[in-house]
Amino acid sequence: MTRLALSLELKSWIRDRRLLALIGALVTTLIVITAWATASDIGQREAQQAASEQARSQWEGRGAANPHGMAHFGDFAFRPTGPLARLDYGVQARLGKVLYMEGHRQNVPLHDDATRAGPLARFSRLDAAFLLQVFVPLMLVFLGATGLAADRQSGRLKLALVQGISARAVLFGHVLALWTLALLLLIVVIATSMITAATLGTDAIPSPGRLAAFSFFYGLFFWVVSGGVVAASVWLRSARAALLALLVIWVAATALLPRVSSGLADAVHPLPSQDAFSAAMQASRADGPDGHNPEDAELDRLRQAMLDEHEVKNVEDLPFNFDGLAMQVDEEFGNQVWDEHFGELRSTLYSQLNLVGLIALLNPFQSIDHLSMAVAGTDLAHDMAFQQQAERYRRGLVEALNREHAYGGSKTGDWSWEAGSEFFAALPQFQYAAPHVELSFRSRALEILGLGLWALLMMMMIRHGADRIETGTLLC
Amino acid sequence: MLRLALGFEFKRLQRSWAGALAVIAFLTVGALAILVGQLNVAQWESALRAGAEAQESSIAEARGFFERGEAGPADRPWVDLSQPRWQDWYAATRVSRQPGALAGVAAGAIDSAPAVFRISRSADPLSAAGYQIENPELAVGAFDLVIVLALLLPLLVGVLGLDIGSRERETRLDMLVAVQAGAMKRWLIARMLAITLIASASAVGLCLAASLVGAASPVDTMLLSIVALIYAALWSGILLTINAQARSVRSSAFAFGSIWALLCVLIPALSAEFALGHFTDDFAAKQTLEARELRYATAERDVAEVLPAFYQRYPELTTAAAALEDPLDPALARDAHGAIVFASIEERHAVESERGRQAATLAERAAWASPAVAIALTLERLAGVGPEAAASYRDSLMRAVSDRVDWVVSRNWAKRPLDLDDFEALITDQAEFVAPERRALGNPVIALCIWTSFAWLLALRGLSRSRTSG
Repeated sequence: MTRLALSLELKSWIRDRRLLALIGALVTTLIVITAWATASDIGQREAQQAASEQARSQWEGRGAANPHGMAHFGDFAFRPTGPLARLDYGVQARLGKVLYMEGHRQNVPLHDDATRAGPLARFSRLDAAFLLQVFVPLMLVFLGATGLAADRQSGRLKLALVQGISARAVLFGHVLALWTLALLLLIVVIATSMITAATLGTDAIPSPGRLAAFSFFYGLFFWVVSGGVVAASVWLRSARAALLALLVIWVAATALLPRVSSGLADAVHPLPSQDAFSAAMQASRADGPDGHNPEDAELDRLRQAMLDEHEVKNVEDLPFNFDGLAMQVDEEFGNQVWDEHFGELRSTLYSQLNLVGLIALLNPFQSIDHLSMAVAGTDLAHDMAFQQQAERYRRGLVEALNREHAYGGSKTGDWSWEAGSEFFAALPQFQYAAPHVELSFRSRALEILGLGLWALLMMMMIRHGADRIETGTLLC
Repeated sequence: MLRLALGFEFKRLQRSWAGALAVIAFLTVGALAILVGQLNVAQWESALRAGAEAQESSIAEARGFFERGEAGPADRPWVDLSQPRWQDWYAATRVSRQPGALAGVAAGAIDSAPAVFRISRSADPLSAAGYQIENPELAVGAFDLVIVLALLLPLLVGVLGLDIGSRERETRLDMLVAVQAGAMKRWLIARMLAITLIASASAVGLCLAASLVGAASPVDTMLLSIVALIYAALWSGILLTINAQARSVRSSAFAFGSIWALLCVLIPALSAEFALGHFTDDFAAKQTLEARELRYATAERDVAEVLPAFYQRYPELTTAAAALEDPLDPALARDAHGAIVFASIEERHAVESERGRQAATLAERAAWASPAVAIALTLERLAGVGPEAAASYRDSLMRAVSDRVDWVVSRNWAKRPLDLDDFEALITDQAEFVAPERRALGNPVIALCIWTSFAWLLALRGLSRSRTSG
């Protein structure tokens, strides 16, 4: 019986030219935007690859050089786009794309797209996820809020009940009709992206696990929306009341709540200003050894210990280059400072996200937004993973350079000594590996829970509403 | 009739929980946005204080060395304050950017410039990040008074006035009004004006509150309020245009919702995508890889190769004491190399400035397509924050750094040891701050006015054609 109700609902949409036009317009928009976003993402991947190759070529092209000089020459890490960025850009436009990695300091990525794109970048970007999260639900509202009302007005609902069809079957038929339509739109998005990618000669499915999770969460979200729309039209007396209530909820959930919760999280867990953060870090760093200062007291003690250990009087007589050792001591102290300060910063950022995640329990639109970008690999957690991997690489690189400086064959004070080009070429290039999709599930547990609870709640509301229709306590 | 309609709408507001709730929600959300904006301004001011303290501390340290007749700190024997480079370092002069009184209004704007910047010969204003550390996930849903006005004010107008006209038509009251009052058109306009007044009063209330907490000047307050008024009038005009034709509240809601989604969500998002699309493939190679390559390549060039370019930049130095020495002091060769590198920074800055201008032009064009973009741009200009204000501040920084480079080079080449007087002169000659720049509101505000006039003209025309317009 549910199948019959579903088929009737789908047929009624196909017969109504205005609804068909609305669906057609949305499908066309989805196809165009998805194809554009996919092509743009592929272009960005190629540009990132080219920039990485250019950086490597510069690194290897330096030839023979002093290892510490190369630590100052530094290396660049170019942040790759998320594995499913073609479907959801997430917050990528706000993230720095280029990280300069050098000796003595941990930097943050710079050159984000948003600051370069001018005033318009303050508005949300248009990608497939934006349309799936904002406009597909709006269409379901317009289709669903009037569907059950039409059944009521035409007496079809009463007739079905008189003929022995259960109210549950009718209501779930309506839900399934909406859900099916939404899923078809999701399939259109995924297929368009795959076809575009294949046409451009790249992987059609860059990450099957993520794509499966992406589809599953959107499926769940659409179930919540479809259920919510039908529930509202069951519980509210008229189609007009249901439509207005649903539109108010849609505006609050998509435009208002996300912004208010952002403002709230910012106020409850404030981040330091850039200057305060840098000043605090500099102050902590100034308390430690300075590898470039021959008068540094802490390095003086280390120097003396080395002289005693090797039973020589001058650093030049040591069997290694003390400067390299001093640089590594400087580096390791710096690393502790960076860990402390960047660790605190990360912790505040995650506290903000946890608060927003709690609010998202109330708002499935926020839940899907967070889950979508997490699964696409375009959220803050993935940026943090990129920064942490790059920092690990930087530390390894600088340590290798300092070791070569200390034990590669030079004597203390000999800054003109150069390691061979083959040494630098043998050092590995930075490679970012996107974290496993499991990270997304762990970091977005609240959102998954929220979406699951909403899906259950909607089912219960429809079942309860159906029972009340059958007992005559709700309008039939 | 306006007084009658106003009384009618106020009574309706008292009786209808939805309308009253909408006004209260709008005011509450607006108040929260003002609070968030003020927190941002407080952070900005704290950055300015921290910068001023750091500057004072550095200057005091240097003065102490001069007073004690020391060249520099004991544990850094290479520091010598009689040399220009060390005076440059210890002067630690900052150019700070004062927040405008309405800065909090547009706290969610994308503003990449720092609040305070240390001027030195080796400073690069292009690599300075903004004063805020942002959580990108929160920054995407920027929340400030601009957003409240741009996105929520139209919805308030919609909630309050959605049934004007369509309700009369649906319940056949239009005929009654036409018969009894003889002028349905005037009645509908009066009702819509009353709604505009209520929505405008709420928006202006928020603007006044924002001006009050920011201690804005009467002119700024007036401008902010006028922009909000125009925007409220614009959406009332759009709603009246719809209501003039709508047969039912439902069709009115559908049409208004669609227009709101188009003008406030879809077109701004499309414009943002278009603007951002230009930069997705750009990994800032010019500022990173190419800049580094040039820096190293220049440093490795023989000084004789770079001197012609250096003298072209500083023709007056051809007769300076250092220029007459043969061979040239190797320490000064660094200036010649540095001048080449600095010229490339200036070049990159010019390119970035041009790009910024193009982005601003694109935003102005988008303002003609969407009033939400127009009001956002207008308010950002009024508040003195956002990409345009940031670019203007960077221009000031570039000039200050350029002056400092010139100062160091000219003192180096004079080969005269510097003293405390030179140090003090260096500090006093440096401009301390850049005042918030009031940019001409220009095209966006004209776009808003044209949108408003057009919407009301359409509404009046629609009402005249309506069957029961009277």
